[in-house]
Amino acid sequence: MVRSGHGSDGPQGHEFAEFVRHSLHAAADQLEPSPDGLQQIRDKIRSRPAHATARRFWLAGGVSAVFSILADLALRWYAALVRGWHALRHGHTAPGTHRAKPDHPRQAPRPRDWREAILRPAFAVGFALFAVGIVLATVPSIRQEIGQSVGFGSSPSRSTPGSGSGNSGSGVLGGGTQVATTSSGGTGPAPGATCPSSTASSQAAASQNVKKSSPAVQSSSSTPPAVHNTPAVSSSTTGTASPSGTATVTVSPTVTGTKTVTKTVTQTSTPPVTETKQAAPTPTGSCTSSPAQHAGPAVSSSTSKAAASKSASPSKSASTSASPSQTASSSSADTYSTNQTQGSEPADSESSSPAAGS
Amino acid sequence: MSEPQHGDARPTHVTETLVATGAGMPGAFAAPTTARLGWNADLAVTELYSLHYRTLVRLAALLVRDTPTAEEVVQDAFVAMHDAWQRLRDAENALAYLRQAVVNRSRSVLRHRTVVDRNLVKAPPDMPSAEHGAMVQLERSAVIAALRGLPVRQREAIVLRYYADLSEAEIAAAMGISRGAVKSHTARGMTALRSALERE
Repeated sequence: MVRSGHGSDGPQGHEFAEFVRHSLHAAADQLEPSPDGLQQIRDKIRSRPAHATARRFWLAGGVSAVFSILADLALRWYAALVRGWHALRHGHTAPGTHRAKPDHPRQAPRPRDWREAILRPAFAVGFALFAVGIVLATVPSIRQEIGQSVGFGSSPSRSTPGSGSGNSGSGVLGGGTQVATTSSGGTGPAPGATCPSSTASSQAAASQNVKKSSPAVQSSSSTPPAVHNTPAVSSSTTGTASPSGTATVTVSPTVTGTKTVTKTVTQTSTPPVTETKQAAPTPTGSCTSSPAQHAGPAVSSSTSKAAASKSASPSKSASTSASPSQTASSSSADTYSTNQTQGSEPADSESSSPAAGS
Repeated sequence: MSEPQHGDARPTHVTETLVATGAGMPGAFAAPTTARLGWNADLAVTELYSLHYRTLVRLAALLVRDTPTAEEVVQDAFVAMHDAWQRLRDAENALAYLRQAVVNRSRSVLRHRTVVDRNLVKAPPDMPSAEHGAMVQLERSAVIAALRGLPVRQREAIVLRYYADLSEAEIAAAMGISRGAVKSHTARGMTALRSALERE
């Protein structure tokens, strides 16, 4: 590849080219763009989708209108075809023959059947829907935007962690904000947004545990449960209290590194304790929160009933085998929007497990 | 907007690429060969910003003679690249797209500025801004002053060739003209530049 300024200019031309190059570099390299350029680009990108979506919806509307017009034309042709077929069927002659006999009495217009009356609009609506479906199928971006506007779609790229100089390791739209994978009310802050993978794993574990303990809950009475986690042990508590007074509390101490010990405790009036030890790899290495933020057990409860469900019962604390140096990822949720966090990290996810027995 | 879902497949060697090419240097105009598929639009914007933003702003500043406008031009080009990433999907394509967008938008800015200047009532002189000081510093170069008197196409060809160090094919792609036209514009521009400098 022939680079610029080399070759065909001759010696003088080459010198002059070098002079121009040096002058341009010396002049332009003095300019320093503002350091917040990336942020401005982010803002511009963030402010664009509304316009882009509107433009695409107008485009889809225009395409649908064109298809509707085409459908109307097709219907007219179809109606003419049907008329001709009826004429042939009832023994009438072709229109050309009518012109040959001008004295032939013209038939009165046949009253239209209601099915025939709605045929055209139905056909038009169906064709328009078909056209919209084709547009949505062929343009995935529109489909995704419609999904987002409806609410069931999400763009993972919006929370894609990126990197780069001056970006503090976030995607261009991320800006450090990620979608927290909470499914329940989420009354408090969701620090688990900084660690979505561990959130997902703890949610899955919680859902499994709730599922396992559901029979015991169904047979329980309305005695409020008493579950206690040792504050010295980093562990997580997922409590699910049904309106009938039964509760399922999941203690999930997570060992930083390779193992997750999940313990399911179901307490009823006749306290059957179901313990499930489950070893599962959890990527909690990046989820260790700062000690200043979680120095003590933070308890945030929205209802007194939920607070009562966390009464002390030392029977459960002894079975937790977490060492003091362990870093635990905790998740706490119940149907009464109670978050109780003990350990080195606050509740990073809230999973609204189905209330057993309801 | 639909984007490729490859956010977690970011190559780990992008940082080395960034260091090797030298962000902000003219050599950064060469697309990193290691930055390939696996980026999504956001990551591509971030990486290409860190690699090429400064150089593109300087290129645009040479074309539009205004640093804030140059930044705006380059930012708009990045936004357009973000929108078109699904079609580009490659760092080299994205860089060529960015270059072309910067050249086209700079041309639009100059066209708009010509219309505005034609209808502008002379304002009283005001206090010079910091950007004005930078541009004054830029205008001190005789070459820049002479470059200012060239036609737009010749100026673009010279800046892309001697500042951005692009090949004729790359200049042709960025300007949207043929390689022969690039040669013609460059030769005429250099002749005009030389005569303007000799006159001074």
